[in-house]
Amino acid sequence: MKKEVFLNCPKCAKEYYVMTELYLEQARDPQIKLICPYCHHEFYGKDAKFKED
Amino acid sequence: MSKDLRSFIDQIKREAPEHFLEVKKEIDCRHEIPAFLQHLEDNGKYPMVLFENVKNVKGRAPSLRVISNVSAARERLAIAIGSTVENVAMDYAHREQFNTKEPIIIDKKNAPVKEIILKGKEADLNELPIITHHEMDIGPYISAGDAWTKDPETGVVNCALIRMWAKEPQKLVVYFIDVRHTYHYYRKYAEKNEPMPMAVVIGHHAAFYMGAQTKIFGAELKAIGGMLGEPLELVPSETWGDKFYVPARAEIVIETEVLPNKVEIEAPFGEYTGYYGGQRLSYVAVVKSITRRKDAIFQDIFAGHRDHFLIDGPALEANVLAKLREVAPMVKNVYFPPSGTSRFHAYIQLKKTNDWEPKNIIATALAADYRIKHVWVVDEDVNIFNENEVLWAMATRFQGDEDLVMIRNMMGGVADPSISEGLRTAKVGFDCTQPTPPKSFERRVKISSEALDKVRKMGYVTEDEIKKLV
Repeated sequence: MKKEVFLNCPKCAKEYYVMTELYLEQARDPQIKLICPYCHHEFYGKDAKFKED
Repeated sequence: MSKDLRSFIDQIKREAPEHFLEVKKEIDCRHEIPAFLQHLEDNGKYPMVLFENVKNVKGRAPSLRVISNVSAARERLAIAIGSTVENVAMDYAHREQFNTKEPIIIDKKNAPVKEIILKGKEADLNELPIITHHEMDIGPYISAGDAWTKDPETGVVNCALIRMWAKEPQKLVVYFIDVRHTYHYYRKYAEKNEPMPMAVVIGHHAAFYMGAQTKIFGAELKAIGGMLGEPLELVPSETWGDKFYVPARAEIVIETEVLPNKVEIEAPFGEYTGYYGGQRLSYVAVVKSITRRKDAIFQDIFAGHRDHFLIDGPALEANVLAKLREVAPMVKNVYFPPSGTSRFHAYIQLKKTNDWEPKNIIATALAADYRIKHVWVVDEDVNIFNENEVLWAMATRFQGDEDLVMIRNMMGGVADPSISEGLRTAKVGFDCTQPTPPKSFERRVKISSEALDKVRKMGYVTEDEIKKLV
């Protein structure tokens, strides 16, 4: 599995990436909130569009 | 006078004024300072830059002055320890092994870093001009914060340059990987559910930062003294008193406690590789106090650029040089060029004694540090500080089927974007040396020494005229 997983922020739609271990951790613990580095919107992984290879 | 950031600035202004630039116009710490440094870099210029009029994280000006790019030129690192560009590795190795100096404790009233002491809500990170470096960075990062931590069992102090996101006025989210000593200390505290004291030291002499990067475990404080050429002055911290000392002549010290078993979202952040490290869960450090000089200068490392590459170069070179000379005493010098982030690539200069020696050197170098990925071994007639010469040696003295060493499945650096799985990497060495006698090899061209001397003495063109030419 690659080291990082790309996603789009559900608010501003800009693309960034998370490390794979965070991707797996937020799947295991849905309470983890990610933060968009562009607009600083905080969101749950389930609301993000991940681009799994 | 004791050495510190200010004495280093004065020294550079005096001895190498072309290495220093002052910017007096108002500039924002959010993106604009790095943009200015990038603008210089686009023009091939890497001076250290002092920004006099800076807007802080809250957008208020003037805040503290900012200095960046201090380590962006090897010439300045050489000046910092009284060496030359070519001898930095050897002089660093000599000082950290044979010329260390134990730190000394001084009175708080003589410690410039105690001129202002802020605690509680007054210890507000947002009052500092912490830089937001790159577009996709999650926020402002302390990049020149030397993190001091202490082993709870032995009391041994470790120093590490780690990235720290200033997330809230009294909260840093900090990243350290599990191969680092900082993490091992953290685990000892966390297993007892105790916070780990961590002092973040910002702004000091370039030799301080160089010494703090020593690869000799537990030797940082005396190595710093070795590089400074004088004992490092320490003073009791505000939070832990004489149980934890901090540098008396630093510009700023932020005293924090890293919470046990607590992680929060952190990154992306533009790393030393020149790429962003992806978002992850990192450790939380709560600010207990900020102490600083009245007119403190906030030091920044221009992350992802030469300032970030070169700071670790001398310590790594010294460490590798010592290891190589154990297997091959005729290794003359080692250089980690900024083109390889001063970590991934090594150029090794050798006075060769047999044709099998370079491969032993390659194997030793590739194992010496997990980040070293590609190694070139060249003869002593090749200037390892001139990349054209190193690549010329590769073009003319290297055959891929005989002179290449590849070792698969070694441990690499997690920040290497070309690593796709865990820490697994392939490491490669290039033997770019001529065969030893009695095997013959073509001779390198050489201009007549007599003619060269004569032309130089004739003064056909002055040195100043030469400097203006392309």
